[in-house]
Amino acid sequence: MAKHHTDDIPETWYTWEKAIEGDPAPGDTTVEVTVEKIREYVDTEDDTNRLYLDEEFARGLGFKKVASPISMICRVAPNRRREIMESRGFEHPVRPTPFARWQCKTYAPLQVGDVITSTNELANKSERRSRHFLTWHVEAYNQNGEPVCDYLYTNLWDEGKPEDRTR
Amino acid sequence: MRVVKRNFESVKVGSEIPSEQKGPITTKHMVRWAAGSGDFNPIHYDKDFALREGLPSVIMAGPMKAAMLAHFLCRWAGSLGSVRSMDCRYRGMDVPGNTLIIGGKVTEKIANSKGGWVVCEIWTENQNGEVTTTGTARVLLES
Repeated sequence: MAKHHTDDIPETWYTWEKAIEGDPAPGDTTVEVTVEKIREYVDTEDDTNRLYLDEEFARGLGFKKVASPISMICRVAPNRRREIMESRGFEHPVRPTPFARWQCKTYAPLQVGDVITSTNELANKSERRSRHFLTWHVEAYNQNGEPVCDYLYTNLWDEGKPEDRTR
Repeated sequence: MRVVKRNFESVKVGSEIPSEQKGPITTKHMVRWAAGSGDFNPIHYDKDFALREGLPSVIMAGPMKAAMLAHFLCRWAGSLGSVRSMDCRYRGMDVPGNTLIIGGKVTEKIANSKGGWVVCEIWTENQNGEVTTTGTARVLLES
């Protein structure tokens, strides 16, 4: 991965040093789960599971309409890290910030008709072998205020200073 | 599609989850994933940008591999199961042309009154034998 040394980094970039744990996204995001959104989503993955596409089949298994895949939570409760940075007057660094880890817990299935509201914040800054990581936290609730899912999403933010690297 | 009804009692600790093959992965898959997921980081679809940044090519989005693992587990768990948590770590890059083997293994069972939890190791491995994603998942199965 290309290295961006401190001298090259624009002042406007949201760097690991500028990030503050608890930095929130402005406001909540609300997305309704619809049959069309589920079809669009599974189509992007060539997933032909009838649970997601065939209403009669899914109803036979106890769903209101079609079911939705667990990973679709990232679509209806998106990670809004760019908005977190922008709300503090910064921009996302224009360089790779490799995805390092995804930890997801679900509490209830996403059902067609659910209206999902989610909140976002920077949960954690960490450092390992001089590499810097940022972990974002997304919590999602349905229209009844019941938790549906929460996930942590960790990016390798930068490789740290060469002189600080221990290996 | 055959309806799988896998119950808690039928699952054995140490058993492998039958692997699935995905790919070869194409740039088209990645572009469609970017559109579906809303992740428009150019390293996943703009080869010039990716090369400038020192990457070997455009690379698969980590959540795309997590989604493949989730679907793999959902198909295995069937209609009596529910994937309730996943923890995936990204160990290596996958690029267009790679073929992924999605695999898993049952490592633990925790019974409750209605069935129980099945804990699994999960992974993706490419055609070069490189394990590029590792993780664990908890699946709730009925009796």
